[in-house]
Amino acid sequence: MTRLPIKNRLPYLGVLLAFSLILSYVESMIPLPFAVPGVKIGLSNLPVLLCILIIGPADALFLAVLKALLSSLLFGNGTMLIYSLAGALSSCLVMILSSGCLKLHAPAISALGGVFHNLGQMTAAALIMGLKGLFWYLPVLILSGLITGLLLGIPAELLLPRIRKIINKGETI
Amino acid sequence: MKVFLKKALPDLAVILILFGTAFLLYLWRGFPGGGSAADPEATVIVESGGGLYGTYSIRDEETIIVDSAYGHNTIRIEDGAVFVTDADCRDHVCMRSGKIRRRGESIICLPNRLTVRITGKGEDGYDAVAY
Repeated sequence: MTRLPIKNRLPYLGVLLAFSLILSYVESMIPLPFAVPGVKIGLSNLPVLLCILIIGPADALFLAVLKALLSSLLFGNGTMLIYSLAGALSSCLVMILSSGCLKLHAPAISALGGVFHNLGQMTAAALIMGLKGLFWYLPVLILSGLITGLLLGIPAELLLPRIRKIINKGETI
Repeated sequence: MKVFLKKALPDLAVILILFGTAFLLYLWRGFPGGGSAADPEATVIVESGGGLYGTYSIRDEETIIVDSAYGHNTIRIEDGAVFVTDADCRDHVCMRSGKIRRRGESIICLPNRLTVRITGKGEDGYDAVAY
């Protein structure tokens, strides 16, 4: 796929960023029935995944960092920024690598992203608070990331052809 | 079906590898010395209906009977482990949770609004990590 010029990418990036912030907000309002630290639904990963697959990896990285920064400024605090930044960066990098090197579909890429989001966040937490307790949560973190990632990958896979169609028809929204 | 399998093979492989890793880590953690060891300093906190019901040491041998407006649970502390032996709720998730023995672990009975958790004295153990 040819890379769009910056003036045509910018509106998509804006829409995706707004989309991910809305999803972060929605997610912050959903209480989880269990208190496992580091486990989250990761709804706001969907726009990042779409960005990787449609617009490009560099833009996705930019989007992920902005998303982490803005969502922790809006709905969190300074400590959350470290966790969300670590999670967003590791998940975004893994999704970029896996979509580039392996011939994967959206659900598998998103599952990898979910797992590495949790792992990145937990590594940050482990570095800040000491390494205790990290290993205890690893299976839970991997499994929850896998399941939420897979589930989020399904709408991504369904959205992809539609969005590509729009982009191919006219370059801007 | 064949075409689908061929196309989705890398995806299935990735999913299986992730699942397998989680499973292996789970097995490994269960072995003695594999995960973080049971903590003799840990305390057991029982909360019912949102308020504190009692605090116990994990080294004790004790049977705690919780009767609240929401229901009845029997909790047993034995050999450094905590588990729920009896409950009058419908789903019995708390009884099926099994034994907990490490800091940060918890048993939750949603219908009876009961939580049992293990905490340490120090700053270890997370109480809230998100985002």
